[in-house]
Amino acid sequence: MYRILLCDDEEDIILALKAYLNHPDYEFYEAHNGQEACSIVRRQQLDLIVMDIMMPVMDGITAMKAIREICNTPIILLSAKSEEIDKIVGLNAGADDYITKPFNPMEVEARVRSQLRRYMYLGGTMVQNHVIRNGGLELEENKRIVRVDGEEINLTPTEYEILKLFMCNPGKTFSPAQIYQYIWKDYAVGSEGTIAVHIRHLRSKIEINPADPRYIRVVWGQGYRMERI
Amino acid sequence: MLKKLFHWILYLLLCFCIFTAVVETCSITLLVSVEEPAEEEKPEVTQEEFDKAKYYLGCRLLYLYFTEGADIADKITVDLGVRYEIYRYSGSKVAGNMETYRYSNGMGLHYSRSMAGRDYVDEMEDHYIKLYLNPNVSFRSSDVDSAYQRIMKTSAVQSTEEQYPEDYLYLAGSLLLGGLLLVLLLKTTHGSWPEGSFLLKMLPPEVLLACLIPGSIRVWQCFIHDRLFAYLSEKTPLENSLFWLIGLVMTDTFFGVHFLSRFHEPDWYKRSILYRIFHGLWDLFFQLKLSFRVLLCGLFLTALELLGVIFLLPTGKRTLIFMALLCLEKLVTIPAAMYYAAYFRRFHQAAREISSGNLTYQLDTSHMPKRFRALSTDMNSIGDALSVAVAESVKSEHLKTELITNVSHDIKTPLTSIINFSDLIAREPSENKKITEYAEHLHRQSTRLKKLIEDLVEASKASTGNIEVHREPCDVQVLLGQCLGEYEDLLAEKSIELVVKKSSEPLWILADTKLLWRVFDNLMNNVYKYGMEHSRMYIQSESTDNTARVSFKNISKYAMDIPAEELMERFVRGDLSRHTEGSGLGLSIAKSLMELQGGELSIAVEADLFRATLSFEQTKPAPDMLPAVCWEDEI
Repeated sequence: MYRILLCDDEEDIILALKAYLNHPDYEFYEAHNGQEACSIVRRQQLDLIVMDIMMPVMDGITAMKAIREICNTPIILLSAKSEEIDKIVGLNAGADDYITKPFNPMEVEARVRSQLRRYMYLGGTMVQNHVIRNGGLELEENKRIVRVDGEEINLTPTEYEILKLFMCNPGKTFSPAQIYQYIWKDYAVGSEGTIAVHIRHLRSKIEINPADPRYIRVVWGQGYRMERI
Repeated sequence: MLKKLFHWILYLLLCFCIFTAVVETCSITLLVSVEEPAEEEKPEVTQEEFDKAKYYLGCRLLYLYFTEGADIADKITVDLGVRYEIYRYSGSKVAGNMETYRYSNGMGLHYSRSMAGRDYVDEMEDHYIKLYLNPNVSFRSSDVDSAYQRIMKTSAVQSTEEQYPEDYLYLAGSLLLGGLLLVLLLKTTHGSWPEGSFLLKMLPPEVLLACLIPGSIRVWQCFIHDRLFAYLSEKTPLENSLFWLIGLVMTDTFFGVHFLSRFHEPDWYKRSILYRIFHGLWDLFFQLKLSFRVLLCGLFLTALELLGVIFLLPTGKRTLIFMALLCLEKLVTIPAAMYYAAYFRRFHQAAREISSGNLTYQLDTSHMPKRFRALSTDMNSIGDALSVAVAESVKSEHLKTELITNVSHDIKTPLTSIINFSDLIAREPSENKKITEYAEHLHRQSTRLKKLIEDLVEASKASTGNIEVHREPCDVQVLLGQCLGEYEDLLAEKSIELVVKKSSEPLWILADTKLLWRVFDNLMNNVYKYGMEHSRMYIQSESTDNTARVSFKNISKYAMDIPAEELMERFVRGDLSRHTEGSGLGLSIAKSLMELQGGELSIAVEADLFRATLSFEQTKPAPDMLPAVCWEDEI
């Protein structure tokens, strides 16, 4: 049984979220502003918090900072602020994920599941050798297995190599030509265009919403980068 | 064809130059040591006559040595078949040509210098001469005289020859011409034809004119001095041959034609040295402060007037008084003009500052005369009024964007509920199929509304410039590749075939890559939305005149009877019926974003062909982004 706190000043949003996340394993708590959320967190052990930013009494960012002092429950921010800078501020303040309103219900479901799995699954596992880890991504080198939030996924050899390159160098930007050189051990002569396609396929397998990727970001005009999570 | 002809002409001229240079060198050296030993049969000479002649020759040679120099003496002895040496009594040799010929039985002839009848005896030591005679040679005194006359005649001719040092000038000229032609030839054979003529065009007209000089002088000399015919008819040195003349005329023609052809060019004078000097001085003059310029002009005018007075008016008291008055007048008017000019400059400066956007610029009115103070106060108030207006308009633009952003936030929350609950209704199992269908409609339209709101916010921000732009060097082709990777499958879904022609060189531009991606995204999205199925899309990246261009061409699904400019306006869409999803803001946003980055988006429509071209000024590549990687070490 997972305990999820839904925090939004709009009753409708909470209702809709409840309808979408309807699952026998989920138990919901409700809060209508940051202060309520904080008091619930103090009283109750929670597994996940979904919270709005713009709320009366206490806004989401302040509440999140207060909650982070108590526990490290994963927090997903759900806000109408869709600017890049809002996302950065939210994630830097300690959020684990950021979803913009109006949201896609499937995406919310997937992200909630992903956060729960990561929190439960990764929290208890030991650090293994030959395993490269970044956020919910795991890459077992000797078995050539890749897991996303504990679930194994199928990758083509090329996709596996590309992912390995990124996992080994999180935070580093690679140009398509460099990636081509690494994978095929050959100079890229105009054939690096295929890299973009491989990366898009890879993204569709490891990202919840490929249009708003969390792991492999496109650095426009330069290349691709694995975010350090 | 023309190029080949040009080459041939150049080759010919080069040959001529080399030939004439060689001939010139030969003829100059030949002339110096020309030998004309025209020996003639002489009647028997008696010993008495010969002895007298020897004595006469000795006197004559010594005399000539002191009056004309050893040169004439050398020639006479050579002419007579004799060699000589002149010594001081102290024993040191001073002249002679014995070294060239040594005769077996030379006889010595002692002769006192005083006997030659010179008048500068006191300064000179006495000299004596030694004659070396060939036993087969004999001559009379008259022969000595005739030889002297002959030598004097030819040496006169020679000396006139030597009066023209152009001989050496010609040599230098023809070498110069040859070098020039060689350079031209190399340029034209190794480069393309326009480069060769470009070099000629680069030469200042003065240099071309200078190239004409040696040939022109020679031709002029030949005709004016009437020497051409003389040289041709006489036994002439090679130097003056017709051949040389023709060569010079040809090179003259070559450079002359080039010189004349210059006048057809619009800016022919701009390459000339004189123009450059004049232009430089002119620029220098205009770099001076206005008041100094006024001063210079005033002084120049004063000088002109004074000169006029001095030359035109008779000298006298009245003229002097007039000149004094003139000077006095200038002493008053020039400072006055300078004073006005200084103020003019200050006003000019202020006007320029205000027009260039520095609205806070203020003229200092504290020390101005009354008339100027009024003007400067007016100018200051223009600046103030403008800065207030600009601040207000900036503020209102900002408010507008803020309003749209805030409203969009407020709209988004209820919209989220509409989208969510319409979706939930559609999912809810219901007996009544119509309810599900209506809910689906509601969901679809509310989703579209969401997209519209997002686009509206973005369009308002982009058009008012309320977006932070971080420009950095990037290779637009990398971005293009990434963009194509994103869209390949989507286009394949619509059976639109991609034809990509990439420039082989990287195209470095200064752009905010995130914004540029938005531009690419909007354009590609348009192709996806409005492109005709089963057609081809052409993407080309190229560089011309330091401008990087990326063009997108595709066939529209809808007939576009809208002018290209209108397509870029807000809420205009290719399909007039507005059935497709989309806000009609894509191109408008793309255009604004391109302008924010200093680039340009141009759109052309021809029948169903839609073409969007992005153009950027090219820049230098960022040093740390050059691809140079060695993987094995890093991983």
